[in-house]
Amino acid sequence: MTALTDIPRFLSLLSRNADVIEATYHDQSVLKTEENEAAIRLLHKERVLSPREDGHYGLTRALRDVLDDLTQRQKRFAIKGNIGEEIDRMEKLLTELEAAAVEGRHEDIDRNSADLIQSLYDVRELIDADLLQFDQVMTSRFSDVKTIDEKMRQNQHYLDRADRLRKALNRLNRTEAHERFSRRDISSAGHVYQNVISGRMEAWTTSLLEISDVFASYMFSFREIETHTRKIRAFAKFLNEGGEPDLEQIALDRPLCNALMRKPPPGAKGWLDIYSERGRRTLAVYCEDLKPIEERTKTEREAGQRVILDSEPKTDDIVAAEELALTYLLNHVDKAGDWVSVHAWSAERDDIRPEVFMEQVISWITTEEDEQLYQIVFDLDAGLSPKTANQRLEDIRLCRAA
Amino acid sequence: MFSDAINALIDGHIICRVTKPDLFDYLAEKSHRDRVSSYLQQIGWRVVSTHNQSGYFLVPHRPGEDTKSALNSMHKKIMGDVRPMIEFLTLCLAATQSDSVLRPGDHIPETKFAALIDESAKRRTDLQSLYARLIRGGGKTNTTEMLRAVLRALEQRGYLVEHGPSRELFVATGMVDAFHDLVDFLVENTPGAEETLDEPEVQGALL
Repeated sequence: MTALTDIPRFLSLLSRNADVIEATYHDQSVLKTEENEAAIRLLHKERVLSPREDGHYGLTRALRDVLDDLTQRQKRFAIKGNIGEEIDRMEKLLTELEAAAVEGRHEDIDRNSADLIQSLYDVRELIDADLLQFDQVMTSRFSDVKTIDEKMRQNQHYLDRADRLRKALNRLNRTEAHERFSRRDISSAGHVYQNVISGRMEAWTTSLLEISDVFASYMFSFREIETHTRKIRAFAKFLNEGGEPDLEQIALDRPLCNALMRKPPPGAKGWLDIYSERGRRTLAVYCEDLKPIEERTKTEREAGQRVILDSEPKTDDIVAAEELALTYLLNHVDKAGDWVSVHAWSAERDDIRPEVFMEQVISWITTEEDEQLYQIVFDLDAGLSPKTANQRLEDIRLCRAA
Repeated sequence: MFSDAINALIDGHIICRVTKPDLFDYLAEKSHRDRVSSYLQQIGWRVVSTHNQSGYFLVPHRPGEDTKSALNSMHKKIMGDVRPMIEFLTLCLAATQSDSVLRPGDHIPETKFAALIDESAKRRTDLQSLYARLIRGGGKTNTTEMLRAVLRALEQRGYLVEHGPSRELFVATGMVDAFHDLVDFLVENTPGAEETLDEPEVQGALL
């Protein structure tokens, strides 16, 4: 009912049903009977009345506020239409009711209970009104304004409001609130809390989550998106959702892309000039200062307890041949400047077996940090299908990282 | 400058304003670039640039059957970067809450970036996944350490360079633009990928 011409019709409706409205205002609610059924149906349709428990109807918050101003009725902890503040008020009323119940002030219990019940209905009404408004905004997509900036500001406003509503719902649904309303001496208010607030919490939360998601996605749509950003986000989404599992094959099928054919850095960056007299003389000067690289000698010691005078006997671990060999291998990889096959290298040595040594290398790869200095390639048994769960490692290749 | 440019290109570098500004300015001149390219064509290479001329690098002059195995080897190496780089770029977007993807010259302050990642559980999980993908068998769990290892790994691959005396700032190189070119290529050629771009993530979609 937004058109100007509807206003006289609405005022006429209020006038025709003034007695029902007045009775509802003073009694907090009105029971639907055969006599007033038609009037209540019309007033409910025009959001003058809202349904309560057991066939009762109460005045909606907006009209009640107008009548409160008209009659100068004093409201305790009076506030104006904000969910957070209405919840504050409801909690204060609850505290008052609890105090009256503990002290046995029966007159106050009835009055406080009526106020608290009214406040619970008000909270429900405010939440429903907010969700309805969110829904209308989402449907209209801020159609009343035309500029992106204005839409962004409005969207941010509704996002903030949705966040406030979420916090309000969390407050209403706290364990403490459930415990307080489950007291036997305030059972009438507790019954309304269960039906009006607690029973609707799941539907409200679901609805609010959907609304927040839509506003958040609107916000992204309002922002300036670079083409590259869009592409990266879309391609990441595509890959995450399963996409093409074998991108390498795409590259192999259509190889004419410059970025794919880029010349990679070579393993070795040049060679010594031993072919010119000048180069040989220069190298000779360098060579005079060079010391021979000493390969670590293999230390062998008898196993058993090592006893040192005046100290506790202790057992030394014997350095395994594979462990020493790993040091030699890494020295060899450093010097080689190219890929080195672990299997081929270990097969040339007499002191280790390639199968055992490969396990030593795997252990080093998975536990030591200096493996980051090397590029590592695992060669699987080509005879087995790549889809086989248990693959067999045929070789490991190492290369010093650039 | 001519020989420096040729040596740098032969070494497999992408020459950009971040890594080698002097050589980049030299190659930005078309006459210089043509001279370098015609020289390199004699040994089977030619100079190309990224889509927006932010970096220069070499590709085979005439890719054919004789270079097929070499090309396959290059593809394998470069394609290994695709998923980690996509994850890294989306992590950058999430951490900085920006709509501008990383481009050459953009800065990544390591400490600040680690703090931004630490703010969100999802970003931390994304970093862990990226770390596991890039650092085989790495056992780090601390955000700062994992991020440092990731940035180092990307530096080794040429996408970033460490910058400044504090050594806590990384700068994106022209290689990042080459990667964007690669994504363009993959989006065009991967069945189903191009359709994902149709989603309305453009400004004004709700007008």
